[in-house]
Amino acid sequence: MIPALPIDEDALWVERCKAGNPDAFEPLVKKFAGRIERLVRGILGDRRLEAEDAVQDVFIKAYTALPKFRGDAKFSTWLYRIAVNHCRDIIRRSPPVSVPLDENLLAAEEAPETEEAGSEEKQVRAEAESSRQLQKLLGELKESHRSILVMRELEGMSYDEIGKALGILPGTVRSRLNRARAKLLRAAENIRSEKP
Amino acid sequence: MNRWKDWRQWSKKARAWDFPDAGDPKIASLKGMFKSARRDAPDIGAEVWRNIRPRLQSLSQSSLAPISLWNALAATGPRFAMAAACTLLIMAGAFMSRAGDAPRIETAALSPPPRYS
Repeated sequence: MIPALPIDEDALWVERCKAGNPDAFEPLVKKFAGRIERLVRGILGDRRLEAEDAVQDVFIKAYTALPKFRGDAKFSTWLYRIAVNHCRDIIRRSPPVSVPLDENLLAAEEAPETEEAGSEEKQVRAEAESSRQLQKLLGELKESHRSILVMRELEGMSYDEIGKALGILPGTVRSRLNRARAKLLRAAENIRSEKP
Repeated sequence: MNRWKDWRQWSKKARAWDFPDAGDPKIASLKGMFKSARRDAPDIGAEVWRNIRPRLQSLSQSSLAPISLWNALAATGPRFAMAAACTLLIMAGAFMSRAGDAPRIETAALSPPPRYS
């Protein structure tokens, strides 16, 4: 018996969009908007306003380019590629401004949990702060390293998927990822050593 | 040389990232930060869709609307009429400037030579 092929739901919505039904794009937007926002924020760093607009622009670009989507890669990988290229355009237009890092948060991340760590509100606040600091740390790296780290560590993408999204070979992904991690570690270390 | 050594040291440390028990507190700290950020996936799909929908509608209308002859004429008509008028003027000018000239070579060749006439 031939096993049934898994149905790619995204591909079905894409086909409906291509057939001229723009409302078929809604499930795709709702499914990927959060992830694209996280990716865009990770790459653009502190440019919050630009990031908000960028997410919308990415989806409009994707919709316009849908007739060119052949389905060789997954829709999500194709969408990530559009998002990364869009972020690169934004960075090219106006280079990022480096923001000073807060050493306290890194210390807090390393510190063992205290007895009062159960408070939900505290946890939410700590997570938001942690996320903010991570963005600042990522801001210390160059764009190619930021993109690859965000895709791997935040989005959990495989080397193959990252390679397709960035247009590079999986072996290059591996070596670039290692360099990006090394630079991130060094950036975190520099913050500590800068403290008097 | 020191910079190279320094870089090699960081690169070696980074290789431990993929192991679950890397043992390095810095790696653990950074992994923790990524883990927190992973949970921070905002549910903005509905808002993004609300904002982009009108633009998508207009995009699909412009790209999918059937080609109308009237619209095509309205879009290109004035430019086409101007180009046609210019061409007509040039042709009329050329015709009028050649009207009083000597007969064309082909006509002269067809007429008998002067001594037989």
